[in-house]
Amino acid sequence: MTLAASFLMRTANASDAQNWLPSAGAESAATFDAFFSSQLCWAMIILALVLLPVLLFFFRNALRNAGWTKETASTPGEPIAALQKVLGIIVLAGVVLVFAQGLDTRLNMVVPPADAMSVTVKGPQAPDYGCTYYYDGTEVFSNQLVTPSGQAVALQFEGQDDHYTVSIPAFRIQETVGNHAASSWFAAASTGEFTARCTTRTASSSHATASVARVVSQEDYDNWILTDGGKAGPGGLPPEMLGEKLYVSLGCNACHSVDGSAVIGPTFKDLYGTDNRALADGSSVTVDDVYISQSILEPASQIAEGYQPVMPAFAGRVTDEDIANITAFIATLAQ
Amino acid sequence: MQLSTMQRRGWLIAAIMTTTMVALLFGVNEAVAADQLNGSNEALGRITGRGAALIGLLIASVLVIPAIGLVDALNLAKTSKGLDEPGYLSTAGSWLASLDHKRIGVTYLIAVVFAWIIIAALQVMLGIERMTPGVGPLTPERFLEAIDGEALLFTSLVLLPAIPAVLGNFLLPLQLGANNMIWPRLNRLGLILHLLGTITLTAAVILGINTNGAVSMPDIASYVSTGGGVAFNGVLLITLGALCTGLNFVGTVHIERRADIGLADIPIFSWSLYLIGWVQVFAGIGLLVAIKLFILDYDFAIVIFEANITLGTSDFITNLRRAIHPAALVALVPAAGILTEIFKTHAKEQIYGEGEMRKALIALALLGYLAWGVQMSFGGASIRTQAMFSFIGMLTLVPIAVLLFGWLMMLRRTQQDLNGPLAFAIGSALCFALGAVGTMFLSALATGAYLQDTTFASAVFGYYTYGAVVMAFFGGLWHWWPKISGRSADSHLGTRAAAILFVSVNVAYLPQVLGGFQGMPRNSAIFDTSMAEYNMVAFLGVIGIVAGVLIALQGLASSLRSNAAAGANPYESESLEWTVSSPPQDRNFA
Repeated sequence: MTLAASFLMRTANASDAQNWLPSAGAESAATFDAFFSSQLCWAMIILALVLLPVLLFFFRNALRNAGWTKETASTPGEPIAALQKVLGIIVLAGVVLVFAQGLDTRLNMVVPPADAMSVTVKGPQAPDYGCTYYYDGTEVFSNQLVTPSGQAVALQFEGQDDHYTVSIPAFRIQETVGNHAASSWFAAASTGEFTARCTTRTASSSHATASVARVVSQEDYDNWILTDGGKAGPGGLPPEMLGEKLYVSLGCNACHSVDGSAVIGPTFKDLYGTDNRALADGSSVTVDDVYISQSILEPASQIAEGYQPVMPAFAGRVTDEDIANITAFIATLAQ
Repeated sequence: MQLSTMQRRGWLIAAIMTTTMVALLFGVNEAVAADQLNGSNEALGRITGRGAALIGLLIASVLVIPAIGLVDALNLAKTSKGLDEPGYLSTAGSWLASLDHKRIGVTYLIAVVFAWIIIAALQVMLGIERMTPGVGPLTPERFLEAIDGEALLFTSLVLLPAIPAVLGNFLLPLQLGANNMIWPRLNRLGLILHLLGTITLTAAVILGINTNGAVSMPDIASYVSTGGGVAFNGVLLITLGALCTGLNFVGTVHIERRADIGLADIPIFSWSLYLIGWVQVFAGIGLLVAIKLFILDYDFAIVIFEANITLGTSDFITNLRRAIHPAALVALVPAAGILTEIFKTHAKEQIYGEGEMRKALIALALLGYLAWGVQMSFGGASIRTQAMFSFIGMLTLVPIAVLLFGWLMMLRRTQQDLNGPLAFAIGSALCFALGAVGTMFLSALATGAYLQDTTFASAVFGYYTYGAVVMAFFGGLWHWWPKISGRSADSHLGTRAAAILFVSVNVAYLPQVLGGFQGMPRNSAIFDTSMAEYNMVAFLGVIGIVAGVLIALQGLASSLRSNAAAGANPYESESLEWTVSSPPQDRNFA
């Protein structure tokens, strides 16, 4: 019922884009909305022109059946072939016009202004198939799009094998990305929260992951980049990604590689779950959560065979949650 | 200059061979283009050189040219071998073995209805899943298989064959004053291939959904790597069958039409079939070659593509979408032919601007084939490619506008009352208009990018297919049912079925249009609760469509039990098919 009511309400003022699209969250949506409105106008005119003769046919049909009009014997004369040619030419001209407008609007939407801040978007990854946003110029990345108001934001989409689509209807952004990189941009003057979707289709299933695009004040944004950007929250980063951040921010990456190469310390690759890891004292252990936790807090207590006891103890510097996150990260490297 | 029959045959075969060669190169090129469009690196999409062209030539010559020659030779030596038993209804064997184009057409009808029943079940299942936010009765994986299965089945077993294979086979020789198709054996071969393909595809879909996905497009891709899967072979069989039908249409129009009918004077439905015949030859060969090149590269390790191309999931999806999406536009061509015939006959009007309408049909066939990128997605392609497809897609609106104008002028001038065929034709014409308006949104770049991969794109496909094509098909069945069965179909029941179908199509697709505006992704089993209401209404539409089709089919079936013979020419039409008895004798005019 509400759907029918809202449909009638919108039809009453049909050619206004705001009636049909989600309410605009960005000023940059205005060009799109203007084009969309002109398309709606065309649609209404075309449909009215098509419906008119059909309704007339039914009307005359009804009049005849009610006996109000008689069959007219007069024939309506020859078809005028020129009419059809003229119509064809008019439609062709209209088509070229709409095409040009569409191309212009599209170029406007995909080429960011020079002063835009840049956010790199990486396509969906297992297990949750959300997109990841990398805030260029900082080390922050998140599965949320948080941007300052009053600032043009360029989204730089990274290409990947499986197509993915990023859609933020309130900003009129919808990009399907294949292996080629793509871009899009928006500028929002006022703060707010908007639906963002990341959809992809892999060999076995399709995923549509909804998240939130938040526009906040510049102050809140700076604050978020410094603090919240790295923290898990509702809809925040999954543990393994937080763990990856810690791997960098705590400096683990100086000695432990993730690609299998031995640096100062043993690599994290294919480490988790190993059940007979040789230690320097001759014993062997299973690499599980307890072992990793112990190794972080008091590394000297169990030195891996072939390595020097040079790692500092992290007891007091990391929380249990941090350890759990790092463990989750290490676990992803053993697949 | 008058050409002898042998000369005309010579020219025809030369033309078909030339088309084959061009289609072949086009197919090779398409394989490359699909590869690039998918966003593989440019270098990956380059063919190594002669190898590909040689292999392609080999395939095509093996496939097509001797087949034409052989069948033609057989046909020249053809005498009555007693395959056509007298009597219209007899054993199943006499239907499958029949060389009579009318029996072949009716057998196609049975195959199409059989396939539709399975498709309808799938559509209801998908509708239920869509109503359920979050994970519904189908897991996302099963949902994807069902969606792919439905798209594959609907396109290859209903949308494309319905009008040409059923009505085209039955009526083309009748409209041309011919006794049979030019190559009846090729025609029968096409039917057998189509039936085998129907069984293979439907079996693949049913088994695939119940077990572990033998059908979804990515799975077809993985089957290619292991030597061809069930559904994949089904597609090949259907394409080959359509190739046989297309060759016959082209040949019959050129050679078999009555001597006093010029090529530009054949009835407009035959004209649309002639065009669709060329499209089937061209697109069929292109598709076969493109797919086979992938198999050769991947399966038999013949290096056709530079670098080590791994046939990615999306490569294959693009390939098949390329086959499926222009199908909606190409299938409009014979539908437009039917509408013109119906308005001409039942509105008792001469065709308004006949020459312009014939040209518009040519343009629609051509552009429809070229517009394959439009409904796919603009994404992953360069802005130049996007602009090209956008322009081609917009151009399709010109012929559709010319056709619509002609029909509406005929409708405006008429003094006739509404009847079954007219009701279907009006509904179909309105869906043509709605689909065209949707195409405007989808083709224009900015709105197209915003609406691609949303339910809006599905809705446009739906308006063109279930709206325009399926309603035109039923209009044609209602119109020609007296000729096909000897009995008139109930006009009131036809009007009712047409009304139900038209309303249901709108109830099913309008919510998808609105949802698409809001950014609702299509082909996704999981979505926000905010969209559930749209999907609930759309589901009612799906049920309505199924009911409408069932009522129409039941109406046609029940007319067979009626005792009132329709007579040779119930509409006082001047078209040639109405000059023979209903149903026509074995060799129509002989």
